[in-house]
Amino acid sequence: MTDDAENALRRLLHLLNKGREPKDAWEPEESLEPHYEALRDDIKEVQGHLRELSAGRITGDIRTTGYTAGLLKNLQANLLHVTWQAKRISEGDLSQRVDFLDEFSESFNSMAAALQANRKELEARQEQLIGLNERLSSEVEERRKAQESLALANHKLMILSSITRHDTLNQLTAARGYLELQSSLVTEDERASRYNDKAISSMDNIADLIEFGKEYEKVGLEGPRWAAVSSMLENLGSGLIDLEEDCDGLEVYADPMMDKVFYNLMDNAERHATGATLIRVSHRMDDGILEIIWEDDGPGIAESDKERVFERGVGRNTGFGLFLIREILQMTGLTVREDGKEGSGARFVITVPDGKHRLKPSPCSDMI
Amino acid sequence: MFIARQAYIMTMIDDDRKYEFSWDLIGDLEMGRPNLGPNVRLEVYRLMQYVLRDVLEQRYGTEEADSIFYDSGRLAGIKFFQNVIEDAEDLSAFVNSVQNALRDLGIGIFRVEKSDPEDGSFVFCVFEDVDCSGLPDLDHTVCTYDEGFIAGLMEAFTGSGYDVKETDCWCTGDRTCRFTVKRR
Ligand SMILES: [Zn+2]
Repeated sequence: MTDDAENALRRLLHLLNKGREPKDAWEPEESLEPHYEALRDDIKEVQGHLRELSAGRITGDIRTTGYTAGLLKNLQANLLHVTWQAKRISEGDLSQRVDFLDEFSESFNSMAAALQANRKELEARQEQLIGLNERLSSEVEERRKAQESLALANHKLMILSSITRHDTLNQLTAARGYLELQSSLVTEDERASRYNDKAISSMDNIADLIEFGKEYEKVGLEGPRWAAVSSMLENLGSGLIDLEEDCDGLEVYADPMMDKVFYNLMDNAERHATGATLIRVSHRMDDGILEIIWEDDGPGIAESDKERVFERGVGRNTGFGLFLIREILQMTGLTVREDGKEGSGARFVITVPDGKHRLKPSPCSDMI
Repeated sequence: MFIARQAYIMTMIDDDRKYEFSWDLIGDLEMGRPNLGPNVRLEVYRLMQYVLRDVLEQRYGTEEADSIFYDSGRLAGIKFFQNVIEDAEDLSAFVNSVQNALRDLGIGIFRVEKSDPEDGSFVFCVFEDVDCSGLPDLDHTVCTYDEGFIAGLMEAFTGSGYDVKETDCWCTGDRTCRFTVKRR
């Protein structure tokens, strides 16, 4: 090889390694020129394509042929294919798989398979949820229907009992009137007039029972609601017994009949707390549990009667008041007990669990 | 557009025909070749293809020989689709199915480079193609039968006619066969 040729090759290699265009490496003699130019152009083109491919521009047209260009095209075709596959995946088609690209195929395919499995699992879960949801809504619907028919039945019962009550009371009033008339006629036998009085008193008890039924029927009829304690206590004091309270802003979640609780406590005091002059209603909060305390300054309740007073029919009158109280409170989980000392007044404690009471700020509180 | 599988074949029913193709002509390979099995060396396939091509060209000229090859490929593609390719609901499933079938039968490694179903244009590649891989470098592409084969597959799958042209071939020094596919 001539020095010239050797130098030219060195120069060509040098330029190649520097990434420069090998254009003026050599000025060959005329006969070699076409071969040299062909070689130079091929190298230039391959370099150009490699530059494009390495920069991620894979769609360029490779027009050269031959083994090296063929390899480049192979690489390009694979890259285009993989790009196409990735696009399918991004469009949600996880069924694509890549063959014969060695480790790449393996990782690509296992990724696609994992995605597919994940999606299947998600879809199965979604289906499950949809099924559950459907079942739930049909259950809700059933429940709604049951509630509707219950309300209807309730309504009918109310009407029926109201009519019955009304007519019974009318008949009772008539019978009582006749008995009273008869009392004025029967005079010679003292026993007859005593029996008459007993019958009249029984009839009064029947009338009380019917009145109680009217109240009791309403317990639980409507959903519970928030009620302010103070406003329920308003106007409860009578001429004989005063009422003091410190329950401003306190609200309880209870049956709409809740005001009857206090009404009956007052009624109970008026009937049984002989000599009482003052009712004090106070409250105490302990670990989220509220206690409303109702105290009078009457004779109090005997130890043995503390539970019995809440039973139906116990008491010097009809004995339904305290029983009704317990029933009303129970609707929202409230309880009542008597824990006063005999001789120093009755003391009723209403316990309101956490979540069933709240403090509503009084409208003036933020002006202080 | 890839909804119906409306394969149609333009061959007319002709009672005088002796060689009208039907899939039965493939024969029962298991029964017929209990010892040798269904495989034959690629040399034999290529021998048949290239001597047939030689004779066709001598008798009818290059253009006509190519045309005969393309049409044969197309008929093969349609029959292949009807008998081998699994039912495909969409393009993705079709591609998968073709990819699997071509791989499993050793025809080639099928890859999609581009797809535009709206426009009806595609670029497919077949690596290690059964017809040309390993052939000496020539100044022309040789996979005319494959062009027709791909056209037939697309036609059978979509119900529309397609023109397929091989732009790169092993024989033109490209190491892979690349086909542009265009709806007519
Ligand atoms: Zn080819």
